[in-house]
Amino acid sequence: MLRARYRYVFVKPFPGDVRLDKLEIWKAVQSSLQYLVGALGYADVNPYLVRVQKDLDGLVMRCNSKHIRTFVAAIALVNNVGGERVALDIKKVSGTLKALLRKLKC
Amino acid sequence: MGSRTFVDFWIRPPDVTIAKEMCKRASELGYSALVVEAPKSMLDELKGIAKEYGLELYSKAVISAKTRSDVLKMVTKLRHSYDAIAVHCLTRDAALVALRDGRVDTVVFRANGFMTIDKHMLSVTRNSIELTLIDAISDRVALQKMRGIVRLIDAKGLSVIFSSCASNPVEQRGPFETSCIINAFGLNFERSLDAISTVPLNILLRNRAKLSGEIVQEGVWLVKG
Repeated sequence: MLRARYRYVFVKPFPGDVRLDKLEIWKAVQSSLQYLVGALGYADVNPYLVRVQKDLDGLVMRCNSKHIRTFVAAIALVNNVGGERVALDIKKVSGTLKALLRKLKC
Repeated sequence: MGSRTFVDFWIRPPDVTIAKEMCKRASELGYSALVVEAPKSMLDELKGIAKEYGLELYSKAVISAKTRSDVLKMVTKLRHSYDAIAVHCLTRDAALVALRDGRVDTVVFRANGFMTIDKHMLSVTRNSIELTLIDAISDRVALQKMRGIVRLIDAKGLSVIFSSCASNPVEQRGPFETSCIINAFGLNFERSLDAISTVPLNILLRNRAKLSGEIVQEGVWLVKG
């Protein structure tokens, strides 16, 4: 069986001064993706919340590498998290978690 | 991605302070040019601010038209004063005229206006069709309609432009995110990138050349030196 390939995405809310529950952000992304591509598409994208990166004030998410554009679109379509108007900016996309964090920190 | 010049073809800041924030955000997101719908006095003030952030600023007039004569009158009046002219159609009649008129640059289909396109309209289309990110973000019904429009445009091979229509920085998205949204609507990724780079940029450069007198007539450029 082929090994699944992923893309790791670092997402940061804008504006930065708004305090948001990170899990609320994840729920908003899930909901947006579900609306954009439906249940079957959602399963293809296979999104997963990897970690909440507190030092960089963002979230690391993962999806199937073939469907990265759909996942990015779903993230970009989020405009409201917990009643706050926000935009979710994609700061970096990488093939491994290690490389993503290295790119973010340098 | 890297060598392209990205253009946000429509922002409409309510005042100079917000416009400054929007310029800053656009520059951070990777845009090289902004097209602003604002009064002339504000545009003059904004030109300096945009330059600080390394952005080229263009002016845009958006005509909301209900009838055929609305389109014709307003286009005649505004064509020589703005870098880009867009017609926001409220009826099918207005859309049919705007799609054919050579003086119009883009025809905007928005959720708060007329947002249906049929095969007859596509067959007479000469101008680019503009869709806005703000409708995709804020209105889920509009999102589905846009998907249908993009599919028809793609099938006919017409040119499409995607602009943010943002009135504050939170409504702005980066070029990669925007092109991914268009890609999710069914347009291939190259054409999605063109919708926010090559297509709007060509319109702006051509219009600026016309306004400055470099284009004497359609296809005839004035050679200097």
